[in-house]
Amino acid sequence: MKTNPVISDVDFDKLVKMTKLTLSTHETKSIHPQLDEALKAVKVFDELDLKDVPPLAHPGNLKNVMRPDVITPSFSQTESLSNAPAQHDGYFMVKGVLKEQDS
Amino acid sequence: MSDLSKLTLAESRHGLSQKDFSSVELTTACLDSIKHQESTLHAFVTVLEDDAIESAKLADKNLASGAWNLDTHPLAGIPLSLKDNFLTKDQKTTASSKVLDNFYPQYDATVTAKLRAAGAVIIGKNNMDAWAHGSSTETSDFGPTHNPWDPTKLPGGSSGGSAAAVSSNEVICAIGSETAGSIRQPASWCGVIGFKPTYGRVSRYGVVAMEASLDSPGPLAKTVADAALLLGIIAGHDHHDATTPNLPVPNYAKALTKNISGMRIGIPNEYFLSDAQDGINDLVMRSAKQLEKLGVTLVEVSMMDPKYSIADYTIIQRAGVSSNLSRYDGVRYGHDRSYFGEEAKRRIMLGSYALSSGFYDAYYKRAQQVRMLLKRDFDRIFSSVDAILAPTSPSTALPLGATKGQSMFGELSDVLIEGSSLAGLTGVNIPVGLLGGLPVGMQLMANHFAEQTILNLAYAYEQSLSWKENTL
Repeated sequence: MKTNPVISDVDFDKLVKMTKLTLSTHETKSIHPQLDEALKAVKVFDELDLKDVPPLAHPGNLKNVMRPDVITPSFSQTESLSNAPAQHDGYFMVKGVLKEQDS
Repeated sequence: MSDLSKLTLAESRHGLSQKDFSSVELTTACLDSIKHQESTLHAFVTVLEDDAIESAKLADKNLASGAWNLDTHPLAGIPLSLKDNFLTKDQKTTASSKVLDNFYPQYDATVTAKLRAAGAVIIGKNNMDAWAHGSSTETSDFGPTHNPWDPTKLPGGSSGGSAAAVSSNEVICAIGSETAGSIRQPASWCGVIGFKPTYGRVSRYGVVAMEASLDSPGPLAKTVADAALLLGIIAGHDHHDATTPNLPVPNYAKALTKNISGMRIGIPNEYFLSDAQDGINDLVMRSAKQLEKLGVTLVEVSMMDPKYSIADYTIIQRAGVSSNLSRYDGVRYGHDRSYFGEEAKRRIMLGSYALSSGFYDAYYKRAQQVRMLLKRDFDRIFSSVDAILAPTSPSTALPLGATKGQSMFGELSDVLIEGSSLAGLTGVNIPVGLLGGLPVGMQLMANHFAEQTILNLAYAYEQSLSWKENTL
C-alpha cells in the first residue's frame, strides 16, 4: 500500500548526497518508507503542550569547562598516520576534490 | 579444581589473594570456556588470547612479589571483556562495523586505561550491534550473538556480546555501554546484572560515539557487589571528557548494605504495559513485594506515558548519529562510507533530515522540548521517592530474526528505559525470575549520582532470594 511520503523523492535524493552514502536499489526502496514511518511517529508530540517549554540539549547541570592552554604530550606524526590507508610525505592523502579544466 | 570461569569477581579476587589459583589458571579457564562456547554464542569479535596470558603472567608475578595487592590493584589478574566500542591501544576495535575492521587504535579509552591500571586482564572484545545501533546484537556486521539461555534467541543489545559472555561464564565480568537500554536490556535478556551509571559518571573518552548527551559506559556482572566494585573503578572525572563532573567517587562496594528500611520506591502504573508479555508484570510486581518485605515503602506514582520517549529518543539519537558518524571518511583510519551497513545508513539519514534547515523546528527542536518534559516528570517523582521500579523489557529474549524489517525494533523494545536515559538517570537491571526458561529483568532507576541507592536496593533484593527459583 502506497501512502504519501513524508520525505519527497527529491529531498530523499538530496539526503543521500548530503550524507555521502551510497544506497543499493534495494536499500533505497526499503529505507525511504522506513524513514517516513519513523518521522510519522513524532505525531504523538501533538498530544503534548509544548508551548513555553524550553528545549533540553543535555540532562546534567553542566557549565562550559575551561583549562589552561598548555602543551601536553601528543601523538607523533608516525602514530597519527599509523591507520591511514593512503599517505604521502607524512601527510594524509585524500581524493582530489578539484578537477583541472581543459584549456 | 572446579571450573574457575564460573566464579564471581569477588570469589576470583578472594581465590587469587589466597593463592588458591593463579591468574594464568583463571584466565586459561575463561579462554577454555570461550573456545567451547564461541561456535554457538559468538559473543566476541576478537579474543586476545596471547595478550591475555601475558597480562595474567604479569599479574601473577606482581601479586607474588607483593608489588600488587587488592588495594593497589583491585582487578589484579581478573579476566574480563570489553564491548568492541572501547578503544584498546594496538588491539583491533571495530564497533562491530566493517568500516573499522582494520582499525588499531593509537590510544586506550579512559575506561580501558583504568581497567589496565587496576590490573585487569583484557581477554577480548565483545560483539555488539554495529555502532551500538540496536537492541539485538543482530545488526553486527560480523553476525549475531546468540543467547546462552537458548541459542535460538537474541541476547538483546547493543551490549549483547558482553551480556552473553558474562551469562555463559566466558568471562568473570564485562564492560558495556548504554545510550538507552544497551546495558540494561541485554542484561535482562541474559539474566545478569547490568548497571547504567548517571550520564557523566563514567568517561566517554575513547568510546566510539553514538549520541553525545546520552552515552554511558557501565559494568555487566554476575552479582551486584561485582558491579559496584567495577563501577567504582571506572567512574570519575576525566579531563578528556568535559561532561564528567569533578565529583568524588564513593566506594560503592564498601558502602553496599542490605539495610534498605525506610526507602521509598515509586511504582509507575504506566510502565506496566498492558501489552507486555504475559507474566512479566506479575513477576516484577512480586519482586517489588519482596522489597516491601525487606522494609521499603512502595508508592504508586503516575508518570508520563513511556510511549512519548520512543519518538523522542528516535529523533534525538538519530541526530547524534548523523553528527558522530560524519567523521568516518576512510582518510585517517578505517574504510570509506560505502562500508556502512543498512542500519547505520538509515540512522544517519534520519538524523540529517531531522537536523536540516526547514525541518529542524518540527523534529529536533520539538524532540528536545519533549525531552525537557520527560526530565521534569522524573524530577517531580524523585521529590517524593528514592527510586522507581519497573520491568526492564516488556518481553523475554525474542527469537533470532525478530529485527528483520523492524526499523524501530530497538526503540520499541527499550520503551521502558528510554525516558530515564533521556533524563540522564542511573539505572540497574536485576534478574528476578524465569518465564518459559528465559530470564526476566526488573529495573530500578534513581536520580543523578544516586548510584548507591539502587545498588543497595538491588543488593538487598539479590541477597534475599534465589531468583532462578522464581517462576510463574
